Amino acid sequence: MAAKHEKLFSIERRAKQAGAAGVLKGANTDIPPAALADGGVELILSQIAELRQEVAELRGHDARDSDEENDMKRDVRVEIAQMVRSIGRAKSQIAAIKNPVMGRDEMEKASLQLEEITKATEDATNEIMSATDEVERLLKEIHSHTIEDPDVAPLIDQAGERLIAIIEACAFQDLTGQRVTQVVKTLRYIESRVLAMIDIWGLDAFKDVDIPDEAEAGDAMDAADENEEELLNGPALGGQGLSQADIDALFD
Amino acid sequence: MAVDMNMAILIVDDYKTMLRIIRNLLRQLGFANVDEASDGATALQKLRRGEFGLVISDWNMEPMTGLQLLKEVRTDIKLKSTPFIMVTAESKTENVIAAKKAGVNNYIVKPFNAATLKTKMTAVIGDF
Repeated sequence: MAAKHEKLFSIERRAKQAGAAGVLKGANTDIPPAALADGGVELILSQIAELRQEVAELRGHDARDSDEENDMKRDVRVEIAQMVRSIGRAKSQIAAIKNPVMGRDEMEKASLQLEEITKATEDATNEIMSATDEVERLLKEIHSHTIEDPDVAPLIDQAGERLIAIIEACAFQDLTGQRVTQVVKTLRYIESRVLAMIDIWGLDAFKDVDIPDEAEAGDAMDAADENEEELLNGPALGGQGLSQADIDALFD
Repeated sequence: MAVDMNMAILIVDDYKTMLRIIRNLLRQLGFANVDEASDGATALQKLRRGEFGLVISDWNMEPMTGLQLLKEVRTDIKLKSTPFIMVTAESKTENVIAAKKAGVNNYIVKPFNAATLKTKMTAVIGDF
């Protein structure tokens, strides 16, 4: 079995070849020849030992750096996982407003309700205006029959003034109509943003999205209340719901 | 000079009820010769075809707004001196300034009453 020899560095080999009293030709060292003659080899070896120690320390640093890098990679993975969960939750919240796959569309429902308000107030205003026109015609007719009566004329004038007040008040329809139109425009804008987000994900991304329930949306209610809540949809939109005749038929 | 109570007045508004209200109030004030348009473009056509002594127009209409109608009227040689009253819910200072710059004769903010309409009309066309 071959004897185990410690690996010699080139400087050690050269020192041996040159002899203890010789000069280390070609070696880049500041060690004076006198020092080499007087135990110089030991000095060189001790410096080599220091070098070995420094190299070992540097290797230790590398190991620590590698640990830190692994920690950072783990943090990034955790953060990516959290982002994926958040995106999933955002998708389900968007689907609760507008789900292109299931046909759920809360924005459209809200817009239709608002448009129905405008139509209902317009119809009511027109009815009021028609009634005032008719009352005005009747007042004129009364006046023509009672033209001789001095007590009736002032009363007819007063009634006419009140009719003007009613007509003036009907302007509310125009104002509320304009305000509702503004709200509908805002809803349409939000809807277009939601649609843009849906486009980014693509329709397929909404196939298996769970719609959050009301409780998750921050509106907790027990099951009984929830059932009753489902019955409170406000007045039916035009063309929907039952007419009075339909309801009467159900009681026959 | 006395106001001709038979002069033609053009009222412009995209809300039918508002047209009806203004028409009704004008009738109460003694003006029966009233024509109407539901947008700026139709109003401009009517103005170019007929002889109107006064225009009472809403601002917020599509596709041509009341302000655009006013500007068209003021740049038309035949129509440029037609009295023009803006009746609108737009009550911001910048709106009023823009209308004044465009040459509006008076400006009524909705909601308004018959007395206000009469006051503004008197200021534009004279006593009646």
